Amino acid sequence: MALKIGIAGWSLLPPSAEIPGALDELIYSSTSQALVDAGITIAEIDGVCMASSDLNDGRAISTMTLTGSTGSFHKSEMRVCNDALAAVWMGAAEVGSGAAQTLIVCAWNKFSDVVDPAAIPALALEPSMHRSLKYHPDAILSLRESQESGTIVLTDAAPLQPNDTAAAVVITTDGHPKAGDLVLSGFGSSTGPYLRPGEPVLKPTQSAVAAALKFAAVPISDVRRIFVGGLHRISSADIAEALSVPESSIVREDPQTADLGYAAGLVALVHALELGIDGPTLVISAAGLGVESANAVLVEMK
Amino acid sequence: MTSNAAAILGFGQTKFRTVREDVSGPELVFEAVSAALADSQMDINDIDAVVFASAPEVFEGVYEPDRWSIEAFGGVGKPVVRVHTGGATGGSAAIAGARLIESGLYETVLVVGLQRTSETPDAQAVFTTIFDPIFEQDVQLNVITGIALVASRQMEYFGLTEDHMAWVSKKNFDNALLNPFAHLHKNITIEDVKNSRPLAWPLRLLHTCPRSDGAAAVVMTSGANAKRHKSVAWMRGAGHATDVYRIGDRIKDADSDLAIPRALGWACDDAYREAGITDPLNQLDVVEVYAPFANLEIGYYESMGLAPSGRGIELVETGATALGGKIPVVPSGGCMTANPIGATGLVRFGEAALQVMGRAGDHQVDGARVALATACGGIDQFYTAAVLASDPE
Repeated sequence: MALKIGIAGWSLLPPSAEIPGALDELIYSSTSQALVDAGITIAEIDGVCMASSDLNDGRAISTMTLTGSTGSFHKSEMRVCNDALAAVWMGAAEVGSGAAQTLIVCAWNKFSDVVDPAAIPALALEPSMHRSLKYHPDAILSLRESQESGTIVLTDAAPLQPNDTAAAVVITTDGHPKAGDLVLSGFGSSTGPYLRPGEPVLKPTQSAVAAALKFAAVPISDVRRIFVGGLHRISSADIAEALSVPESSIVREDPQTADLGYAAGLVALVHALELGIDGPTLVISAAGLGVESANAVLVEMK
Repeated sequence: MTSNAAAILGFGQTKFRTVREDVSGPELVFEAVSAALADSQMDINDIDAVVFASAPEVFEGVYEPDRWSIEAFGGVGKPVVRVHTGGATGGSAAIAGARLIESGLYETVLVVGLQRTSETPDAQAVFTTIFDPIFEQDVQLNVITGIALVASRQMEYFGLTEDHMAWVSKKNFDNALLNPFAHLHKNITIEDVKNSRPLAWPLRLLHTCPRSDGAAAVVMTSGANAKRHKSVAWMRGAGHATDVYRIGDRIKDADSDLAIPRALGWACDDAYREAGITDPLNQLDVVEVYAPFANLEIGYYESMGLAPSGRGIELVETGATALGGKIPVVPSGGCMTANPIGATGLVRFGEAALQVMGRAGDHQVDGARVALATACGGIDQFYTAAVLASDPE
């Protein structure tokens, strides 16, 4: 079934080690600028779909205090706790279902407020057996790659650099008067097993990409560029090989070691939009203990 | 109703208890998902995507609890998204599942809710972190004191008394005796409620809910697919709405009163509009409302459009919301008798589906064909509403 979602505007606070200001100021700056870019007022917005992490934000229901800055007051609020590309396809579902005509998709990360960001991923480990072993996502990835290759793979990567950022995209129905020349036309997602080795590390990413392309009926050979959010420890060459595309089509975060939390996928999407779309463009992200949670969206010109 | 309606095929829930020592979090999930799949006569291979509801995750003691539960709900190889809108999470997840189907993104969606509050030694300490860290956390406002403020205002607004709250408590505890999955099975009297331990004036222990461990799951599918099944609950309308964070901002608004949460009204308005409901009291047959305190349920009657402004209390005084009354509210016992927070909204949704499918067992409302299910999160801030019916139109 074809589903095309209009893109009316976007905004990005470029990732940085510390963006001064309170969290809600960071978010407001991004969402309000996206509305200006779209030429749409907050009164015309039907809802907000957001991606955020309580642990990164420092409170048990962090979005309670953020309804003003996200723009969700008196509107629907749908929040996902996954990479923000999941918020994009969830938002697309709200628009595609007819429940909303216009929607803000937003995500943020303010690691500069977090005492020890590196301690958070380990809390996703099963508490009785695995957490005490002090697994680290990098070590898990190495173990899985070792199993996959049949040789010992060691981790010697530089530590990730926690970054602050905020991004927002205003999406609409395809025929909305404020929709621009670009549409979201493909949506894919896949999830790998918890810790268990035995399948290729990039299998969820491959599945997500395949699903997005199948949904849009676009062959991989037509894709011009692939913007990558997350997947920090995987080389561009490995991603290109897994997706059967030339390495030159892969566009990464700069620096590749910037940890953007749940915002990574939306930052990659806005990065793609800002650079200009000249043909079918994939935006992908993968996160988790072993990049097992993967998402992909396809952006096309009308 | 949107053009491609979603429908509910089956519902599964665990027995709710203070502590489920016999199982882990993922095992709880497996229990509920297995029951839902069996109830819907579906196989895990029929599921195209999963919406996971669990929040706040601090209760679980595990960051991103969907990841370590993934094999328990059969999510490997599938799209999985975790929804979190505080206590409204289960309601939001159900709506998310419906939107994924209605948009044509997926045909059949499994919605899973989990909460294991027993993993945290002090739930109120967790709740305290929901408030503004600079101005409010030191005040030690918590859910009980916050709702006590609402009850105080309701005494002024519509004349709430201890008798009204006691009636609602007894009604819900009596209903729970008919529901084998309810956490609390207690035969209580009005006097038991009025003599129960004071918490924060005017609230007492039996005006509120337990802390429950448990899980729930719902299988939803497209309208086209649903027509091949005999037992179906149709999603006729849905809405969710958010209010401002600060309670003071709601007291001062010209169109707002702390006694009556306007955001539930907004959510219901959207759901009713989609469903074509113009007279809720007469068009709805049963309501599964997310009300963890007796006084909140009474305030919600007005928000849900069951009573005119300031007269929701009359539904108590006439017994209209009792099982067998004009408009039964929480025939399952509701979340005053089982409250696995992140899953509670999904339990309300599933119970409403069972009612319109005529499969609610001993707490079935005779002839129920249209039901409303709601959920609430934050301090009366996030609300969802869904209208389910036995017919697609």
